[in-house]
Amino acid sequence: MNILAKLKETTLSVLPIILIVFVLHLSIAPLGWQVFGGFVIASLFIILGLSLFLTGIDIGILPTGELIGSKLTSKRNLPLLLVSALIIGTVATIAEPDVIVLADQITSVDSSIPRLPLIIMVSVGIGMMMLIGFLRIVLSLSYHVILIISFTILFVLAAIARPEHVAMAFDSGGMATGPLVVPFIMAMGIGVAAIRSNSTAEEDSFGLVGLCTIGPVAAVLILSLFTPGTEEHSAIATTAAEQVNLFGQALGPIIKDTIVQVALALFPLIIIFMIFHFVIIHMSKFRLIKMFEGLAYAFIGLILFLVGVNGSFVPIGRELGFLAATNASPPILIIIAFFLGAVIVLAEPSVWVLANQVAEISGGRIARKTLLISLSIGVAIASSLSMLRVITGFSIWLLLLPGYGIALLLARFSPKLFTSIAFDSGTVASGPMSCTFILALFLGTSQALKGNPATDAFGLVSMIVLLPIITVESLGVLYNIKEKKLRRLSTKSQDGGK
Amino acid sequence: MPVPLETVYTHGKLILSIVARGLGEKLVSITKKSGARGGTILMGTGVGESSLLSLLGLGDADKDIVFTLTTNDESDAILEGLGHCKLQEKRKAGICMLIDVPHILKHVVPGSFVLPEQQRSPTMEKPDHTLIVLIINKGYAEDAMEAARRAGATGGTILTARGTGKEEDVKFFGINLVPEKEMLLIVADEDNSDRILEAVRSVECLKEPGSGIVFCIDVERFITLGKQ
Repeated sequence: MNILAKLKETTLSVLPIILIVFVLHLSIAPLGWQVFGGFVIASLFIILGLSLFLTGIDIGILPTGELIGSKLTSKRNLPLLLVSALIIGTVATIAEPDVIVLADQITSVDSSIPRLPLIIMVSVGIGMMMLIGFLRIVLSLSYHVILIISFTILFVLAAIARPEHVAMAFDSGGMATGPLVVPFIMAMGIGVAAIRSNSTAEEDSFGLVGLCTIGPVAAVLILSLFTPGTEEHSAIATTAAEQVNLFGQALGPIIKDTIVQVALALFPLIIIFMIFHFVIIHMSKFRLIKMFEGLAYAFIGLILFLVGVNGSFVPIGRELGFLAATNASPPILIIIAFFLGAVIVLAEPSVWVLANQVAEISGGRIARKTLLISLSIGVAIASSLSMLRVITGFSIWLLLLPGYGIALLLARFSPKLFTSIAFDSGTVASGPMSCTFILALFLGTSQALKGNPATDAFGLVSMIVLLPIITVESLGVLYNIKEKKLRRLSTKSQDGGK
Repeated sequence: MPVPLETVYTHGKLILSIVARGLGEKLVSITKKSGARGGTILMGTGVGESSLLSLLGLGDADKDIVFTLTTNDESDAILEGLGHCKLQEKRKAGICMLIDVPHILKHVVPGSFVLPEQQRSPTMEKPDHTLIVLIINKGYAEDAMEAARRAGATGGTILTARGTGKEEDVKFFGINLVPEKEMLLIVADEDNSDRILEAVRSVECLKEPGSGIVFCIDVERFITLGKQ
């Protein structure tokens, strides 16, 4: 039974987080036993929620997304395919709570950016990138070339946009893609690639989610060009939880908010699924029932998960950051950021969805463990680099430009399958767990170091998107070298046998 | 100068094992100890083992499917080895079946290979199990499994596949589009297999022409792995 296996996996991935927090609690960041107890209970919520959510995604969203992708392609109608991609991408994200939170954060930093146009442009940005992603799969265009073109445009835009908006813009790519939309888009890409009988079907299965992060970045940068900008920086710090609560205390409003948010995000997906069911895919009765069961599990699971994250993990992350920065020296802060980053990403829902899909599509050749480890290393480096930035305050350009330069260069040497998985990895790593928790940690640190939380914290998400791209591509390069060695060995042994 | 190779066909056995996800590699290494040369692992999903869980939509369980081709003599040793391996200690580790294969193609250096004298297996007893294989359009395997379960099947395994090579394959921007298929494997008692076939045949969405094919393979021996 898969749900039991999932329960075991998620328990194993949340335990290290509890352990690290426990060690910090005993050493440099005493939280108080009641708060720590609340944290443990919240972890149980997260374990249970994550298992339910992943089960729901497996039986509800992934199969339906794949069916929509493959049935749309089999209609052999390019305009239909592209218009559907644009509409699905836009509609699925416009009600995403993450997009609304993103818009609130951005407008709170710079009130001259209009809120509604921002939300619309971010969603359309995702829709446009989905359209381009589909077009690429159908026309067999090179993923690498599309990446180079997109990022050249992004960096030109970033160079002429208002400098204070750049970090914020790159963050919005990771923030706008939420936990329900990501598996759905991923599944559609797999579906479109699955019904083609050529050799690139495997590598074309991935990469769509990675492309989708580019849309919101471009959207925010373009908006930035047309806004006068303001000097006032109202701290976004206030949007994070105010103080550490005991888990259970003041939980009522959090639960209510979470239910509304998740329902809002799920609703457009159900509408899309039903329209496609009646018009194109015509699921069998059994499949349809299973889809709704899956959606129900995902709904309940995500609520449990988010209640755990927002009710306890976020305030504790913030408190940990504050206490650690008060009691420990900068090198220790960087080490703490490294280890927390490494473990927190394993409790990220979409990360598991991606790892499972990669194992499935590659027939087990790229094991889940391998991918998870490279993601974990990536986020660990991202988190410690960002901590260094909070402490020293250097410009985000110093990381973004060389970072993406390396990512695009590595894409030349890494196998194509790995490149597309790498760009997807960046997107899945920046989900509701790692982003909110690490962000909270940094807000706390920045506060203790008397920095400016509003500017220091921005740029963190873009690092969590960027670093896994580099580590997964490096993994691809390693695979390439190993495979070449193996091939050389086997030809040698054949020669010897003659 | 490489010696031109000769093609021979030998008689042998196929051991088809379906085990819990992650145990495929272990199973191959166990069979290798008893003489197998290797194995091929596929990924599938086990369905329909419990009616309550299926009703709740929680019946799926990831599986590894292992193909091991062997000779007549080796197959007994391998099954024997599997019967006493560590996998037996796990709960419901999986199942294993032995299928007769009349021809295995081999390329050999002429003269180096002596065909075994016995071309047929000694006495082909009446098989007590049947492997029912359905290849149907994607999205319907679970409906078929539901019907099979009502007719007495205890479980099945779904593999995703693609149909190909038919003249109605269509092109889209120069790329062939192929229909997605699902392959459903069900092991049944000899007594049950007719009823299951009949049940599957009468599923509403499988009645249309072109919706799929079904065939049965005799299973010579069937063993379960792990505590039941």
